[in-house]
Amino acid sequence: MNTPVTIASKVFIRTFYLENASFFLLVLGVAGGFMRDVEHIALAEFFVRKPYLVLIPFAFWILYGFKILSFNTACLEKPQNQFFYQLVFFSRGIRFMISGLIILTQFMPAILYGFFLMATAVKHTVYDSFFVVIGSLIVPVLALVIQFMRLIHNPDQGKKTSLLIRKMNRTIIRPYPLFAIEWLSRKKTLMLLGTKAFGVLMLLAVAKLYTTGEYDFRLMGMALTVISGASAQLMFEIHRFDNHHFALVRQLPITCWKRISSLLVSILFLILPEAGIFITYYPADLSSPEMIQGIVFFVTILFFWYALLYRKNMDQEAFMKIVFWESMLIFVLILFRVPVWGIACVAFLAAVFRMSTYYYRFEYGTTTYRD
Amino acid sequence: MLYLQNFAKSYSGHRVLEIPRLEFSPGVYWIKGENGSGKSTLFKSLAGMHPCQGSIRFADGISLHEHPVAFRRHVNYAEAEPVYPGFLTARDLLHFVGKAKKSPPQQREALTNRFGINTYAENSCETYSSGMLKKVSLALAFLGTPRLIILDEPLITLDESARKILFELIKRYITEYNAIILLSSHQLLEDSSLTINQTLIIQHKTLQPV
Repeated sequence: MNTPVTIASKVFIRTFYLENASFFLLVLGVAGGFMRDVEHIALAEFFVRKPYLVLIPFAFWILYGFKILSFNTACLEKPQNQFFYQLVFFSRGIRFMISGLIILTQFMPAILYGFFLMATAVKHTVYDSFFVVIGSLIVPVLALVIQFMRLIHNPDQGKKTSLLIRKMNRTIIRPYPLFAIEWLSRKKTLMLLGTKAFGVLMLLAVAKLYTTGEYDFRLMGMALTVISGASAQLMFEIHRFDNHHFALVRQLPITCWKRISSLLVSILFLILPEAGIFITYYPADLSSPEMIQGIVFFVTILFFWYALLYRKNMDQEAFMKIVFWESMLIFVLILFRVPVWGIACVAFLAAVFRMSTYYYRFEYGTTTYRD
Repeated sequence: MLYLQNFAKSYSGHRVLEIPRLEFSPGVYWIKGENGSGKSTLFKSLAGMHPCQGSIRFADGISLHEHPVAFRRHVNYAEAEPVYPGFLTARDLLHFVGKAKKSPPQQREALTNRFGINTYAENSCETYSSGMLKKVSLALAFLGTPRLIILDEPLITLDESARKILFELIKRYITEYNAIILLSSHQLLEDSSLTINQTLIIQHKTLQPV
């Protein structure tokens, strides 16, 4: 019994918390950084005031449950973890206990908050809410345990392409610039949504900053620099797609200009939400050429981040450090009235130079010798 | 003809493969070597996927380093264990690679039918078995007018009928396009009906005749 528990904790629990460390840090930062103790208590009191209000944290727990489910499914699909299917040879009781232990530990942050809500409900003698909180915790945990046991019991369920998708595949051939975007939306959904949400909110906030006074375009330029800095992680993933997940493209006879133009089209698709907000909420004081400048600047800086990755192999941390310092430099340049189009031109030329010089010399990530 | 001169491949400054001089004429070359000897490294370097040093050029002067686009048009490569993004279909891949290799639609269709890919070409790659993926990668390796076709372990996971089709295609491409076929296989090729030009082995960090 000890061995499967140890293995389960290493494969599912430790990995889950390690892989989602930044997510938990973000949640802790938001909870601990922006809210004081009294505000936490006030919020909990609000949630338990009426039983139906418990549905608000319950909705978050369901979302968190989906996160756990998708992690466990992906984890079990990895070839190195498929030995875990051997769990099926244990008795139903042991399987249930191990699955329960995994899910309970993964769900622990929600459970702890649930206890806090229960304590608040008891304190205010709102027993209806107390029982609704218990139910709201039991339901997702039990559903996740059952689903986990189902996954263990039915390995290799076989993926199928639905009739509708097959019909679409027959009529539509995916254009190459959309490959990376589709990959991002499927594999890095949270990152993509988070970055887009950040970009859109940032642009909305900056566009509404000066509704009365004369608007300074530099402010827009600086906002776009910050958003492009945040979007650099998406460019890192696109670069990873082009050179690792779809490395076949390196073998194809495609000219450098075609590779660059395909990438620029991909970037244009990628920035559609931000571009939409930028155009819709563009300050009336500013001119149309400045608006075009802004979009060109945004696209160019993203291209610049992508091309940066061909200079040498670097991990995301090292890359983001460079992005941070170069963003700061661009920020200062804009502040000192260096025209945005000038920065865009220099960034574009530097990116083209990098791509044309280093593309064929670049080798993705392999530092060890493999057959 | 394909000429290799002073070919060298290093990882982090550590030399892993060196071929001072080697020539390949049209026909099949069986590349042998133990696991980890560097077969895939050699193949990926020749295909232009991994950077390497030295001169790799065809008889008409088209060289990997000087004419990277033209060289790649004439070199096709099929990986030992192909993996493609799960959401793409065989049709997407054949269309994209075919266009890049200037393969006419008839050739794409013929290869699709020949390997029996047409039955699942509209399904996503994530639904394919390893044998189905292998057939897709082999079909991609015969697109266009290749002068050099590199097949890394082409026989693994391949069924009997697909093997026959593969051998037929190899023979046809040698006759029609004067193609050079570099092929690695741990399975015996003697009974494959293929005429082997030369068997080479990667040993002591170099490629030499057996």
